[in-house]
Amino acid sequence: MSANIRVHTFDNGITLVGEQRPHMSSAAFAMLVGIGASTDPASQIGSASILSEMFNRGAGPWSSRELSAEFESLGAQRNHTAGIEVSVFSCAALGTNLAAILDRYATVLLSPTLDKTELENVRLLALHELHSLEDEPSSKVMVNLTGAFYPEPYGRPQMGTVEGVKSVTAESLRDYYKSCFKPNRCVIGVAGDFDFDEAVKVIGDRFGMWSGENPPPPLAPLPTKPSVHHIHRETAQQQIALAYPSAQIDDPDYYAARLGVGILSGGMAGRLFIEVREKRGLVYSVRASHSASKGRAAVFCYAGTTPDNGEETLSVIMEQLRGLPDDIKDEELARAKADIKSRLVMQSESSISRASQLVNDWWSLGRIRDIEEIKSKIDEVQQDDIRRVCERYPASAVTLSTIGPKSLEIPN
Amino acid sequence: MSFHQKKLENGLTVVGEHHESSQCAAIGFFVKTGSRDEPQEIAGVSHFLEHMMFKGTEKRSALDVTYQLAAIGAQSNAYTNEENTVYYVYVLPEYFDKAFEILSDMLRPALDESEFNTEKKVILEEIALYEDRPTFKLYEAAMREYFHQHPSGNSVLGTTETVGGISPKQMRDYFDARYCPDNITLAVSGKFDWDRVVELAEIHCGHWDKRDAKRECAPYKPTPSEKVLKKEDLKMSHLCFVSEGPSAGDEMRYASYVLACILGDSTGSRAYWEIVDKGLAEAAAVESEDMDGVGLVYSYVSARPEELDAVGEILRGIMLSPREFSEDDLERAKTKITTRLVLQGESSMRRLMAVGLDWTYRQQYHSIEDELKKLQSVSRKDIDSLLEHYSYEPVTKVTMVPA
Repeated sequence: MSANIRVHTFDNGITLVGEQRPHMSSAAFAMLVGIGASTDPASQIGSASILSEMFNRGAGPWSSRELSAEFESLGAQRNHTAGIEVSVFSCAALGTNLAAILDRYATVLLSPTLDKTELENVRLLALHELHSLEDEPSSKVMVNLTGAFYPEPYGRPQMGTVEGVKSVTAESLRDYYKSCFKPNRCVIGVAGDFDFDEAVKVIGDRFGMWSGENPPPPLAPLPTKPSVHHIHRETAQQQIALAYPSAQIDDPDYYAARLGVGILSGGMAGRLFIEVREKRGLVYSVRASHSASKGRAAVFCYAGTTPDNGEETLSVIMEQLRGLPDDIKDEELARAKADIKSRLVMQSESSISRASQLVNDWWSLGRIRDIEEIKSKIDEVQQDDIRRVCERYPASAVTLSTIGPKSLEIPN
Repeated sequence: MSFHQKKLENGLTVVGEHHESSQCAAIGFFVKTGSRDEPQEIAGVSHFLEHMMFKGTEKRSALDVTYQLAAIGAQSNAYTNEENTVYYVYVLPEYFDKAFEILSDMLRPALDESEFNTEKKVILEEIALYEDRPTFKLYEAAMREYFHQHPSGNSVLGTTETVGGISPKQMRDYFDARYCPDNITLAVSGKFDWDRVVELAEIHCGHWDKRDAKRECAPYKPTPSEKVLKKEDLKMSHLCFVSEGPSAGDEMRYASYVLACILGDSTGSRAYWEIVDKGLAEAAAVESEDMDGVGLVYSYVSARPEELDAVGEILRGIMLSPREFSEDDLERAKTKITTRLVLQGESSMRRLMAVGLDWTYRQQYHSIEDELKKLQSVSRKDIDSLLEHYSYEPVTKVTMVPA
């Protein structure tokens, strides 16, 4: 681990991971809490998403407006997302304001007002978002795919469901907050120009009395058989999305799996882009990505095409996914390696993205990978490793989700 | 941080903002051409041409371009809008020379006919993709409606018909007319050696033929109008207003950035408190867009169909009373904008865009510190004088509702 990375674990379970970068003038933090759609009550899916917004709507002595003014006068660029597994609260600002901002966050997260009238406003907002999703087929298809591919409760839509959002009450939200918003799985990553010891002190003083535990819901196995899910809509483009299991982040074959996906979809040089778009002109967008969360990992693939091209597009994609292990050229592997390595450096350029990297590593691995360590792991991967990971995780148990005028079948 | 500038003999300007502590470098060609410079029978040619620039040169096939950029881990892309076409690459410093050479070579494309025909299909797919995006369709329609016949309202993508009808010869003629060295700015940012940059520019771009490119810059005064778009199966409706605003060359643009932030930033603005906070709409925004010789203020809201009129009236009310803000509101908006600017300074790619466009529009360089000073000095008096010239009163209204 590099010398300017420091870790501190607090008694209540919070881990602080910091990387000091003195040449920067900003600092950013990302704070992860183990609450998300998967921990929502089954009849109130959307609770975590509503809760994450409710934190903005009054806390401690502050009304919603006062709270907003407090952060704005500190120049805090705030963001929050409630995902399926976790919620992340992040913020970037001038490094000199970091300690004051962490102090304000303690009030926001530990003493939220959870006011009834505000809940009604937030509920309306959440319903608007769910309706908008219906108007954005390319996003909707990924939500559908996640639901079809991941077993309960990990396939839930992170924005919640219309029924779930409608049935959240001020009381249920308060109970949910009390029982599930806990520090035991909390990770705070900080990067940029800040004083680590000062951060330890503020967090210790202000988050130290936060206590309790919230265990994650049990994992269930991923699909072992193919399945097809279609929604009929008169859209201009047919939306095609599919997924199949892959190697997890703590698997020895993880980097081989990443590089396999890199060969398929490493920017414009990936096989999918070349074969589907560049040679055949079937799509504007086609991509694959490797998604690894705690305890599960998958390859996700997306394409959008006009309905007449749907079958051919899917057939070329499947040919590429299944043919991945065949004939991997040295230059091809080298390009995929160069792509992943350079992105790694580029993505760590800003304080906010570096803070997220720190948090994600700690969350999924329980340690911080040095950039040099990742680079050397990537360099070690050979063609045989990718062939092996393709045998372990073939593109056969594919979950296919489509939206558009035509339904599609997975070609043999 | 230091700034450098040099004009080559053929008219190409090279500018660079150097950051010693950066771990990356960004290189970009900023071509001053876009949909407003297109003859309307070939609408969409700028954007189609942008795609073709990745499809091979005299020296390289399309695959060579793609594979060679990938081999050095370069992240490259391009975009086209109403008035600029920008090509850029983000690269680790050790691959700077190679990335520079490839990108420069790409700027002299082969425009091969078979690649042209395949890529045309990709563009038609892209047009279909945006058909399914309501907010994009709304924006495109609003630009046309606000600008009427003025070319600044031209569609960037064009239509299936115009793109379908473009021939390789028409594209070549457009390229010859617009991609002249004096119509292009080459910008670099991050970690680089300036002397080497000048040397590379001479070697790879110095031979480009010197020619002149002009842009029609007719002054424009909009007239009020309204338009309603209908779309099947729409769950949310959308509404936007377009008002007059300062152009890219106008110093009042700083006051307009601050005012737009007070009125319609995504959080903590008047539109946020009066509309989004109350759950009346999913999003409400006000943005000041300064363009070449023209400018506008775009305000937008989305709501459930039955509530659109009421929410639209609230937004109109905000645009009609732009002076209603406190000193605190003003200070907070300035703090927000200036913090964003400081964060922008930490990304070589974002600085590349700022420096390249600054030069393209104004032949000026503003460091982050210069920009901070200009924004911090915006006072209520400046906003008053902005509003005397540009009242922010909506001129154009476009809505998109379920059919």
